[in-house]
Amino acid sequence: METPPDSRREVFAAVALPCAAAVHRFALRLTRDPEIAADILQDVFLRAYRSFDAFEPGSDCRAWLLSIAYSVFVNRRRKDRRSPPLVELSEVDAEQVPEAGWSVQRDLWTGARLETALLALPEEFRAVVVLVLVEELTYEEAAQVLKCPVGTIRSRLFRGRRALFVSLHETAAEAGLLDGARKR
Amino acid sequence: MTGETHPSARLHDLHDGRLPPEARAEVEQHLLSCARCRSELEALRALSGAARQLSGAAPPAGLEAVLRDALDAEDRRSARSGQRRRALVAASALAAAVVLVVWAVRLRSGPDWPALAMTAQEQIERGDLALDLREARPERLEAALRARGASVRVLDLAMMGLQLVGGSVREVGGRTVALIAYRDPQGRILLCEMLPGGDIRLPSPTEERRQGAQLFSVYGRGGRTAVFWREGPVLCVLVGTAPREEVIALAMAKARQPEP
Repeated sequence: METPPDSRREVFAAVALPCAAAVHRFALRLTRDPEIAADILQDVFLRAYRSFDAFEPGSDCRAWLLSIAYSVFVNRRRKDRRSPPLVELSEVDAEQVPEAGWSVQRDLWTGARLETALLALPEEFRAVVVLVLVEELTYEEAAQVLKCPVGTIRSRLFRGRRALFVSLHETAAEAGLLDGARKR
Repeated sequence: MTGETHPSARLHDLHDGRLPPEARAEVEQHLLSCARCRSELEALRALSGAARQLSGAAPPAGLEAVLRDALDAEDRRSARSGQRRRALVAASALAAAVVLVVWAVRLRSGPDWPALAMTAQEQIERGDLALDLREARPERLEAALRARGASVRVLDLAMMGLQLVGGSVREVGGRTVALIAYRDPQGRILLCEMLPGGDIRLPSPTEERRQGAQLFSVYGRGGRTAVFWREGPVLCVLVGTAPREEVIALAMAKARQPEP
């Protein structure tokens, strides 16, 4: 039986609206553009509202919304010919982490520096890192959102984290913080 | 540590809690003797902690209000669309009912015989409908048509300047219909049809003519005139593009008077 409209709206608001911030964060980190992220957010909620009857009560609404967000993002990028092609994270970036990278002090990894490093990651790695490390989705949930195998999540996360270490290390070195850290 | 193998991928799996117990024990054993891997594990933990902090970033002000407005707009759009859909469904149901009624009436009254006769005449004139039998002698054509199961008498219209071309037998509306075609001096086709049809109810004619006890129902459409009459159980019709009065006069001239 179909849910009465008013009740449907109330249930949707109660279940989905608390996830709005997470969807917005994900959209913002995917697009790196606040305006487009806001558009995607609205699009996601309208699509979700229209297809709310297909949502299984009790399942993870945030993962469902993030999955819609990624589809909306991918469709937009496909339509927008101006978008630059995806850049593959090279093996060199991912594998050759300077030894000093491991000794970077935790207190040097501020939110702002990490955010900058995160946004500099190629999109495919950024999406996985954001979903697993920031939004704390399981590998399986992330695989569902990005519609890829769990093994792909594992390898992208590994390489994405390695690239973040490189980036954070370089930033710290440029700011002259690395030497200080070493001296301590 | 240079030259030593570091289980980096498994280190990440350990950190993420995705190592089976045996592999976990191996990596933990390695960690006891490898400062580099201990540093990397420490870095992984630090990175995860820092990343989790990023999820606490405050959403833009008014985010929820914007979404609620969008949902309100969607509700209004959906309500309008629902009204349109209901109106469309009602209109469709009405149209379907009308079609059903028309269909039922047609089923009860059978085919539109005047329209069928006019269409057959047009098709023969255009050459779209070929005659099965080419025969200019009336008695021979009549015999051939009767042999094919038709209740027919072939009119001899030679005295009126009409040349017999030939004929066919067709099954129309469950009845065996004889078609006899003539050509007038202007090259126009005059078609005569005869079929068992004592029970056939014809639609309202454009005009009715009487000659004695015989009733003629006249139909005119698209420059064609069809004149129907009955000869006992046989329904007869003459169809042509000649002037209306000529077609009616021909029918009246050749129709048999009903038996008293």
